[in-house]
Amino acid sequence: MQIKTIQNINITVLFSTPLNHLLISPVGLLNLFKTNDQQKDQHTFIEAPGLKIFMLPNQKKEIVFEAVRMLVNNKQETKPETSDIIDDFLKIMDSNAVEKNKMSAYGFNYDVIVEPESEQFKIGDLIGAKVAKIENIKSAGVSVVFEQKGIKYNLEIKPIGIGQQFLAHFNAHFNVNTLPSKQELKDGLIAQFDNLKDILEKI
Amino acid sequence: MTTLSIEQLNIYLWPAKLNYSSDSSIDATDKIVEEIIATKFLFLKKQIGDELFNQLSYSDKLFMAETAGSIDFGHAVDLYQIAREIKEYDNL
Repeated sequence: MQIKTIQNINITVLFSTPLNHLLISPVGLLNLFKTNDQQKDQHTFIEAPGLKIFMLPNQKKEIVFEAVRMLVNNKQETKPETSDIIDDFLKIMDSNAVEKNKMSAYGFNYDVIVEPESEQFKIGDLIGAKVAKIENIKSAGVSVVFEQKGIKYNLEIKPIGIGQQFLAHFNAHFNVNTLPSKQELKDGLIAQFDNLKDILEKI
Repeated sequence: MTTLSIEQLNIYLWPAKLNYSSDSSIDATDKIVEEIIATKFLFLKKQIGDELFNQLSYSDKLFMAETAGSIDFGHAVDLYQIAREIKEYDNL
């Protein structure tokens, strides 16, 4: 399988204590992401109990604050090499919106549209032989959790109902309570994307 | 069948995975929906009392919490009047 488009790249950080939502304001967040381009700086702020979402639709960026997690989404459909998600993520981590020293883990997430490389692709290549024996399978997907070199992975591939296309979701979870350097984070984001590509190519 | 207390239910309803996973496919909206259910359960417990609440299965509680107050007769219903009419009917 090969990646057709990148829908979303995400960094999620977990904290050992609940986030202080009083410190999270649309003004404070806009100051971090301001470009001085009126169009690009248009933003939306959504609040619910235990949830705050700051969206910059024209920059295709979204930051979600939950009780103990912060999710930074970048939907610019750019490759990790050219994405500015690490810079955005560190802007917030270095601000007073969150308590950086209370992080307990972080992870990279990728949502990509994939399609088979060859026309000979059969659903049996994706799912187990016994399941593939079910008569008249219209579509199927897989969910795999595995661990390599201390990193926990979750890979889900599910059909999206458009031809032979699938949505692949990949999470690489790092159980560490200190943040690596900016360069290490950038390298890690690219390395895990390459890891995803390698896995998909083998299917 | 084991009946859970409301405190236990709150714990069981909480998607614990959210608190230790960096997986972005799990999000807080699920948690909010579950908090709403927990709140409805608390309301239901207050309405029907501890004794009856503790005898109900989880699915019964969920059904009652989801459907309570949702029967629309299209007009106000005087329950006392209905009770009186039933009583009079029984006395006939």
